[in-house]
This record gives sequence, structure tokens and C-alpha cells, in this order.
Amino acid sequence: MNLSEAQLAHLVLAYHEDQLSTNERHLLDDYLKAHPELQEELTSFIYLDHSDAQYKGSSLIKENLENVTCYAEEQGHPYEKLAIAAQEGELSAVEKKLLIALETDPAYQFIAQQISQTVLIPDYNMQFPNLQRLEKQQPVVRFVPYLTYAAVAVAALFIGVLLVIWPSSPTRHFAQQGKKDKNPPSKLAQAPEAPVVSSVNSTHPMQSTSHLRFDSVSDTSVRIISVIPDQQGHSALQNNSTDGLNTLSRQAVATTTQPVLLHDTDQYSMVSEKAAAGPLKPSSESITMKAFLVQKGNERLFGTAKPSEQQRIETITNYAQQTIGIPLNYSHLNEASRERTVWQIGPIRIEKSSAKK
Amino acid sequence: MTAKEYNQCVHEFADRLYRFALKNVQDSDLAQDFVQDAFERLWLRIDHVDYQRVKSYLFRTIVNLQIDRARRQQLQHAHLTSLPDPVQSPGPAHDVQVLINEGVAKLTEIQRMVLTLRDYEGYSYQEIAELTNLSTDQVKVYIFRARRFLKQYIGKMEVLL
Repeated sequence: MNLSEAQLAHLVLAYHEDQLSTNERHLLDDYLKAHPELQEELTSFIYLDHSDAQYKGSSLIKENLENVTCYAEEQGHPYEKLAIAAQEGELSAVEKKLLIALETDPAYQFIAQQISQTVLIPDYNMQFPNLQRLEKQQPVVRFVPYLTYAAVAVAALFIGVLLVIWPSSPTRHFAQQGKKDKNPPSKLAQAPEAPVVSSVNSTHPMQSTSHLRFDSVSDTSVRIISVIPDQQGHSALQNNSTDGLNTLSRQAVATTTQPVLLHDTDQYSMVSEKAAAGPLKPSSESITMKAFLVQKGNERLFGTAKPSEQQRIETITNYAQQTIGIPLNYSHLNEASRERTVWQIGPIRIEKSSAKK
Repeated sequence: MTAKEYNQCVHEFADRLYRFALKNVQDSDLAQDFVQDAFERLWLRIDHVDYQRVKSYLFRTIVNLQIDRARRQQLQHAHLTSLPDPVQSPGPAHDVQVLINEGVAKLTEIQRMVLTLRDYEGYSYQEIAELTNLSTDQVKVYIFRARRFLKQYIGKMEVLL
């Protein structure tokens, strides 16, 4: 026997409501005999018991609903507002008290549970891929070698020029003297007769044989308190003895006890005049770099910007003597028709002669 | 700020910025671009940004990038907004977090932003207001509406399931 689903449902419902007719009961019995597995399902049907369906919460108490002031202008059930405000920590004192009263209210608890589920939880497994590409390095100031070399070269050039100019410049020396002259009268000026002797220690070849020191005696004269090797000095050298130089030095010191006015030496007289005139002022004449370097080189080597031929030879001889460590004699003979220059290195004699023009 | 401090910021904030951006834009590549853009801007202004305020600077940059993107999208896809939401039925497997994520995707741009700043980073209303150029009351209302929407969304989905 076959029954449609609708017929079966009608029979089952009529069975439970005890409204089966005689024919319907026969139909149902026959069907259950054919399908015994439905017998248990039919008898175990659940009946609702309405005895425990009672309201236990305080959701509908008007006072509770009126006390909710948070999110007043927003739509929603007061319990939603309370739950969200509690979640956000925005409850007022009155609402906190109300919340305590609602702790046993299942309706509120249900809403509060749903609200608590709306809190977003970050997924810490979600990480930025390839973090290194975001990193940066401190900008590095690159080392440029040629700039360093250029800077060193400029510094060396500057120092070199300074060394050429500074230590041997008589101009500066006299310029300082000129400044001193502008000062109130010194003891030296007050006692011009008392010479001031100072020793000059230098390895400079020029200075080794010609110890010079200029002191201002008055505004118009310069006193030499050391001596330039003169003919005596040359003769001492010509004696082919190193003692000659020592003798010369002693003579020089002895000679310095008397002031000597310088008249016939071009460079020193010129400089002394400038010194007497006051501080030197920088010349406005233009000069080439080459001329400037030659001038400063001469001042460094020979003690003057424009050395004479004799000064050149004499200085070079002294250089050579100190370099090779062998006494070197030098003589310059100025004859009527020719000039002769003779160097004597031990047994070796070198003579240079030139006819006068 | 030094380069060393900058790199410390990268390690400290990159993941958090990425999570925040990804939650809002729902696009991994775009979120990476936002984070990278934020750090590039920070690097360009490294001498002007205080190390103590660098977190706010980075999040504000991300927020501004999202707002700019949202505006562009509104202009480009204005006609799509009138169409009904295609996602009405639940997916095959749902737990609460999945439902929440779906619901977050349905929030408005600004609601999603303030909610993620609130929940992910724990910013106060005042801080969120400063980051997003909103008032504190606006932030408060946006968060309330977002939570209420999510609560309703969860309830609706659970009934359907």
C-alpha cells in the first residue's frame, strides 16, 4: 500500500490529535505494517510543554528602558545601546547601575554577547611580505680621491709659498721695525750709543757667513751689529782653512762692538731707507707669478730679490762647501780687461774668465 | 629621526599597518602599496617627523590613502552602488569570525576605518578623530553604527543558518 507524503502527513497529524476516522486508522495501520521502521518515529513524537514558558528577565521594564541615555539620537534597542556603550566604556553612572541589574536578564545577555562578537581581532599571521624592501640605509658621503689630492696639493702649495715668503722676507722684518718706530721712544733710541748684539743661529748658508742684524738707531739710520764677510773674510777662505771661517766669525763679533752705518750696499740701504720711512705699504705694481716666484726664490737663496753675480757665486760656493763637506775656496778677480772667477776644491782648481764688454 | 630609528619603525609598524590596510581595502597588493607608500613618505620627511609621533604619522598616511582611493572609486563606480548587493546568502562554512569579516566588508569606508583603528590599534576616540579629521562625536557614532550593523548581520546570518 502506497501513500503520498501529503496523505501520510495528514494521517500522522490526525493520529496525534486523536481525530482519525475508522477508515483512516485502517489505512495508517496497514501502512505501518508495510513500513515497520516508522512505528517508533510515530510514537516518539515530541509534545511541547508550555508549563515552563515564562518570562524571567527585566527587559521590558519601562524604567530600565528610559534610563538609557547613551546614543540617544541613534536608532536601536536600548539594550543594544547599553551593550555597545559597555563595550566602548562609555556608560554613565546611572547606566552602570542599570547594567548591574540587567546581569541576570537573558535578553540583555544575548544582545551583549552578540555585541562582544563585533570586536575585531587582528590576525597576527597576516604579515607584510618582504619587510627588507622597506628598510633604508643612511646616505653615505662618497670619498672622492681627486678632491682630497687637490686639497692636499693646494695646501702644500700654500705652505710652500708661505715658507718662501715668510721666514726670509726682510720686507716684513723692516715693516715690523717700522711699526716699532711708531711706538713711543724705546730704551734703544734713548741710548743710541749702546749697541745691541744678538746671535743668529741658522743653518742658512748665507747667514752662516754673514750674520746680519739690523737695529734701528734712529729714525734715519740703520746700524749693523753683525758683519758681512769682507775682503778679510775672503782672504781667510783663500787660506784654504776652515779655521778661516771661525776667525771670520770672531772678527765679526768683535767688529760689531762699533756701530757701522751702511751706505754702499744697495739692498740693505734701500731696505733701511724704507724702514726709516715707516711701515712698508704693499706695492700697487703688477707682477707676474713667474717673476714673483723668482723674486721670492732669490730672497730665500741669496737674501735679496736681485742678487749680484758675485753674491750668486758666493752663495753657491757656500752651499757647495756645506754640502760636500770639503773646504771650497772662491775668489773673484776684477781685472782691467777681464773678470776671473776661481774655485779651489782641494787640489782641483776651476777658473772661469770672461772679457769685459 | 635617524635612519636607524626609521628601520626600527619599519619592523615595529609595517605588519600593523599592513593588517589595518588589508582589513580596509580587502586587497593584499593594494595594502602593500599603501604601506610602502606610507614609509616612502616618511623617509622623505625623515628630518621633520618626530620619532615619538611616527605611528600617528604612518596611520594617518594610510587613512588618507584609503580616503583618496574611496573617493576615486566613488567617481569611477558610482553606477555600481545602485545595484543590489550580490552577497546575500551565507557561504558554505561560517563561524562568527568569518561572519564578522563579511560584515566588516559591508560597512562603509569610514565606519570600517574607525572600527579597525579602534579594535586593531586601541586608539581612543580623540586619537581616531585626529587621524581621520573627524570630530569625536562623529567617531563615536560611526563606531556605534558599525557595531550595531555587525550585530544585526551576525544575528541575521545565524537565523538563516
